[in-house]
Amino acid sequence: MAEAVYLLCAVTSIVCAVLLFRGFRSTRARLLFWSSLCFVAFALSNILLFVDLATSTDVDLSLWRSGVALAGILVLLFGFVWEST
Amino acid sequence: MAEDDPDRDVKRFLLENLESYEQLQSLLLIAKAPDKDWTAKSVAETLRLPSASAHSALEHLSRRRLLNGRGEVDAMLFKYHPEHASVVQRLDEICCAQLHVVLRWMNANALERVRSEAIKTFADAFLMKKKPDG
Repeated sequence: MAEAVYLLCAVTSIVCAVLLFRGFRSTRARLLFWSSLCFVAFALSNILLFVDLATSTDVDLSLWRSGVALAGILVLLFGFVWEST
Repeated sequence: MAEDDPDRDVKRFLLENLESYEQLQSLLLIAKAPDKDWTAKSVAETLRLPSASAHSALEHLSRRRLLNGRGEVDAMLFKYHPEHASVVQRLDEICCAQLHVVLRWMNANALERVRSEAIKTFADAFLMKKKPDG
């Protein structure tokens, strides 16, 4: 069950990233571009979560998946600051 | 409280109908001579505005049904539509006494429009199927 939730989170993040990038391409609103990048990072983070917890590897990916999610938020924050200046 | 604000109708009128200072000036000018037919050129000359700005402002006011427009596109005549006469009169009084207050309201409205537009752009990105135009 938990594995399905991890995968669904990854799929949802990918769908959001695709929709936001599509919105950026049609409106050129750069807020959507930064949001799309953020969701790409969330998707990666969720994929890493699935690999880390649902597959039997000995490698601990907790730092990597948290780091990727943090990078996504920082990208979005950078985008907000960049667009407001 | 907002309920007790005597200028609530004026603020709402500004938010819903006027986006620029040119539109405000044009409306107040035309409201002062409600029986006169105005052209973009005559408004531009009176207010010392660029003709294109006056034309754009009058078209906007006409779309908002604050003016009645008639005639050819290049030489349209505009006349005051007195549906909101009492609010416009109150707006004129405030402009004469405290123009800075009206400008502050309009600035706040402009910011609100930018925010609303950003939120709408974000929300529209999640529409699977585009809405038909119009």
